[in-house]
Amino acid sequence: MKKIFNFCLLALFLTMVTSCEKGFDELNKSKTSATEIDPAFILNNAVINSSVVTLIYEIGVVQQIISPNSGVLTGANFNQDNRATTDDNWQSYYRNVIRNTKDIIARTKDDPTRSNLMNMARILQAYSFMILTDSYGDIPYEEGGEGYSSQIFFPKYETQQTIYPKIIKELTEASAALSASGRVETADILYGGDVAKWKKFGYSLLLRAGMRLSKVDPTQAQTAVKAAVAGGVMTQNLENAFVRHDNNYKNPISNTLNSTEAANYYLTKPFVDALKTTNDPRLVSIAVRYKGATSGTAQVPAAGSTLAADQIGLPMGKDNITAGTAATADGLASFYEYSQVDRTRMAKLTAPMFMVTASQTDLLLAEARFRGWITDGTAAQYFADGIKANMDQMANFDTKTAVLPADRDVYIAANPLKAGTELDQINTQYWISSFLNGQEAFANFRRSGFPALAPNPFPGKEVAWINRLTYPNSEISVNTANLNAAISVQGPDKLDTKIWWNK
Amino acid sequence: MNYSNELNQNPPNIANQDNSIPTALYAMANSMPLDVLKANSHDASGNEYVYSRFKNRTNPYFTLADQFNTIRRDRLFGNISAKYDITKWLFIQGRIGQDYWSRDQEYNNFPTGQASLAPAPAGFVNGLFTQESRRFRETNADFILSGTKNFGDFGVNGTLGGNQMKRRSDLNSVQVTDFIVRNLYTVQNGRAKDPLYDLSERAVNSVYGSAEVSYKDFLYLNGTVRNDWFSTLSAANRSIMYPSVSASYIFSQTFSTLPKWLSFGKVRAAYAQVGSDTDVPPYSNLLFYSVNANLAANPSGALQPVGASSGTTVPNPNLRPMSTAETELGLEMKMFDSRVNVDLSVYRKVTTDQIVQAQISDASGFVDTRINSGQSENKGVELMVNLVPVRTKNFQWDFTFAGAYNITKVLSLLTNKAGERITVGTHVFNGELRQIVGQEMGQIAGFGYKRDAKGNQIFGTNGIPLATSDMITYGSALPKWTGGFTNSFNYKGIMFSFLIDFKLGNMMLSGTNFNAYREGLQMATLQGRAEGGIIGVGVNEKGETNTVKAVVQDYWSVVRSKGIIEPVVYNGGYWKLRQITLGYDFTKYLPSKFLIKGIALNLTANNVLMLKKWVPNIDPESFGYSSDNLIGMESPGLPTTRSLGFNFNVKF
Repeated sequence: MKKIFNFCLLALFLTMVTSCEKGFDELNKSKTSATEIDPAFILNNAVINSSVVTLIYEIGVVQQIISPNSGVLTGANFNQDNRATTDDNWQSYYRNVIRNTKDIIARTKDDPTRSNLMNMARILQAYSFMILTDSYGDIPYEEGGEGYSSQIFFPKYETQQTIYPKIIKELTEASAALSASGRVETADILYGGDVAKWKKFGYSLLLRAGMRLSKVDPTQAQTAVKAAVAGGVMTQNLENAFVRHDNNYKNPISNTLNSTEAANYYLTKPFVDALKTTNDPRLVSIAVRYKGATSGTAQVPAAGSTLAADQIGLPMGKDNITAGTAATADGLASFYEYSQVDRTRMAKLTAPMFMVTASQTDLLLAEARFRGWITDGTAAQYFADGIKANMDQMANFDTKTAVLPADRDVYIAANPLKAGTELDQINTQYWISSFLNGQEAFANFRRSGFPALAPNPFPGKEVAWINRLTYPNSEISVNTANLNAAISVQGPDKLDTKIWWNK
Repeated sequence: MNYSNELNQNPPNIANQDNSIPTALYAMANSMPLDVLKANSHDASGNEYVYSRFKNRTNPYFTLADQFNTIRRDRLFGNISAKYDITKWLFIQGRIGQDYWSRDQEYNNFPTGQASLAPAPAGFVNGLFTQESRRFRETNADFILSGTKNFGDFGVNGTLGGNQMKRRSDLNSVQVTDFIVRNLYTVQNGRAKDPLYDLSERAVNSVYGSAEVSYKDFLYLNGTVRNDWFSTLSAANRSIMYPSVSASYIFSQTFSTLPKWLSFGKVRAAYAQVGSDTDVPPYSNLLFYSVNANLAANPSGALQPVGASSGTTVPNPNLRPMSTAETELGLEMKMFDSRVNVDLSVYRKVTTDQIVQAQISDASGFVDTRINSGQSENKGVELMVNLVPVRTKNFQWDFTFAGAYNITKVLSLLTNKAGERITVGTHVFNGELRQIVGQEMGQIAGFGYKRDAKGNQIFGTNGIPLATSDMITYGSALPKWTGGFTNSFNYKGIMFSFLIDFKLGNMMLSGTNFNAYREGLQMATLQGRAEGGIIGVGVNEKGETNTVKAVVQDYWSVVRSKGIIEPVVYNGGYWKLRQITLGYDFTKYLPSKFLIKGIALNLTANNVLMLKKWVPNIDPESFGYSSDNLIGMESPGLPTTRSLGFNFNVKF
């Protein structure tokens, strides 16, 4: 009896079905959010997100800025693995840059009128992948950033050896495909859509990628370098690739140094000494020392000195107890008195974040010329140009960080390229030019081996040198199979495992 | 028709790192004198007085003085219905109901002068303020056609009905960054304003019918069928039909002469299915884009929009509704003149297509995606026993036990291969919640201490513990045994009762103890301080006995830097003396024809005593916040309070 009853009810339901979901498709459409926007705006987002904090690891590994404090700040200061931080690059670039560049490329690849925008996105994407693979080694490349477009939730890893040629190919093709006769994307905040500048950016990145392989595959390196030079690389500061920061889009490193970590980071002794002993005018642009400071709150402008002679760097390998001892030995009131990068000038909230500069490009050309991979010009001239470009670049941070042309010329005349020490000099200048561009300083230091820094003497260190960042815990958890496959090829997931181009 | 007006001021800001008084107090060094902080809450310029190198730990007196959160809510809900009797045994009823509320909230996420924020540009003071206005409306329109008729010893009842539910939420909010005048939190006083309008709508239409047959008032049989249509799901997946059937048999009435000891006995059996879409937010089928409120300048200085796709969840347009099927058997008996009463039920519930946010690789560009996650099972027993061991003219002792045993199991996810897993939630620091096929639901997972094959702990060359290379699971965060015992005594009108309750069989990850370890406030971190370090008991990577003395701070900071959660995963169960009540009923002293019909006075104490717990330093029930995908993950909350109150009851 119940069955008959249910059947009658069912028949009744069926007649009502048509009216039971009327209007539901319309109701489930968002009335406030757009389902697409001009991809040029997405590129702007990707550009701004390319600027990340590299204080805990990269800038510390190259011994320019270091913190004596532990806890969340553990990293290159103690040569210890801090998984809470090593995943910063991974998350920032995959989630906030590559996700966007892949989106732009997917939306514009079939539209010939947006060809320039697509190639601009390809160049920025190649830049991001280069940073990721330089940081971690083997990473997802083709399958990375494809969570929505291809629904790939657990991407496979590729070896760095296969990734670099692909990056080189991308940069070559995208830079060549940019066309002055195509649409000028004026909404672009990096170059205002200026095709000539984007080309130089692309080829300068190609030069960088080529030089990166100088140790592991000089032939491939040379080919890429030649192609880059033929395409045309940056030669002046007007062509620099940098993220413009303002009060709404603050410089993340500056934001950290002006808020919670203001009293936690100091310039290192190796860095300060390198600048002091050569009377480098950039020391005045970079540093400040709060005389007599015994705490963070005592670091006030009135106590600050920017004179080169006053600057003293914190020695490497100190924790917050031994830093105090070192301060006393150096005649300081406390470690709060060591020199810092000036957070009111070079590291102010609206300071630009440089990605690729004319200075870095000139210095790479100097090394390429020295190796005989290119034949135009002289290594000594490129070297001098590189220093000049960086000193002129200092004015971009703040009016009070500018280097006077007179001081600049004195320094250049006093520091010419000397036979027998070319690689050391070029790459040490590269190190100074890449100050605050942590990822690039870290990568070039590993590749070139210069400057000849002493190993971190911290007694509780885990590794002698940090050669890469460790994979994120989230990958270990959810992408286990692919990650383990990568580890079995590359080597243990530790800080001192060498990546392919560094072997 | 009901109306309520609610004003909520300054609910505690818990489970945050910044601006949180509980977190600042829990993390503070024991040598820090609080009266110094109180006397110096602000510095000379009116900014926060900085007392710690770790500026995220905001001066609690600064927060106390300057932070506010005001919530005002007006709510109106009610319904009107009309009923028409078609015949004596058949009626039709229509009803429309609405729940409407309007809620205004304003709060300063960061008061002006906060030290953990970078300073504002010249001429402004830093700070962050949010003002929100929300409106919510839910309307339900339904009709019922119902008939009841008796055929001899049989009674039949049939119902046919339909319901249309619609929900709409509007949100207007503005977020203001940096201010001209200190401590003036208005939109006009702000430097950068970020306004937002959001609209969310969803609807569910349903049709249902039920039929019940009863025989002589002791045998009942009931069946229902229902079909729901959900607006949040795609056309192919939005309709779901689910039946249920139940029967109950009061067997004590079939006996012509009842055995003396049994006064009431009933068995029941039921099978029911339910479908739902509650975990699917509207519009989760597409990827949306938004443009930032703030423009950015291109090289010529012209301001340009900055935008991108929003959210970190990959949309899934193919979600199916979740459905649950439950089978239950029950037995209820009153025996020995109602001095022994038992209510027992046994159940098995299988949930299919549960909608969860499963974590995916960050390298995909996203953090998670919503999926239908296979099948999981809950089965168990619920028992209530009520005894009256002593009943005399002046004294009665009642004993009640109510408890349940529930065990869960993940039957399948995408396949039913044992060990297949998804991550459904992550703790703010380290540790995550997983569903693993073949195991209980809600497994807490994270790195542990690395050990060799013999179980010895392995230390690095610097004497610091190493982590396991893979995450290990520590057990389910869901309790197995829950319940309580109440004993009540009544002597000549004086009533005394106490309730002991318990929750057992669950693991928890304690965020408060995690912070305590890395700040050196946990008792376990005292070891080795006087000796200048700890020599970990175990071996080094080569297998030799560890002899390296490690600095105590570095030894324990691995909970953060290496994500080792092993020291902070605990048995989350407890036994509590929950309540004591003492009361007296004065009614018998009242004259019979008095205006007041009853007077009683009760004294009640709640959360009286923690009888047994396994997690140190906190109450295992005190979670800073909780949600389905964060069971067992504790973040610092407020300490539980013991309360003592009285209740004076007067009846007219």
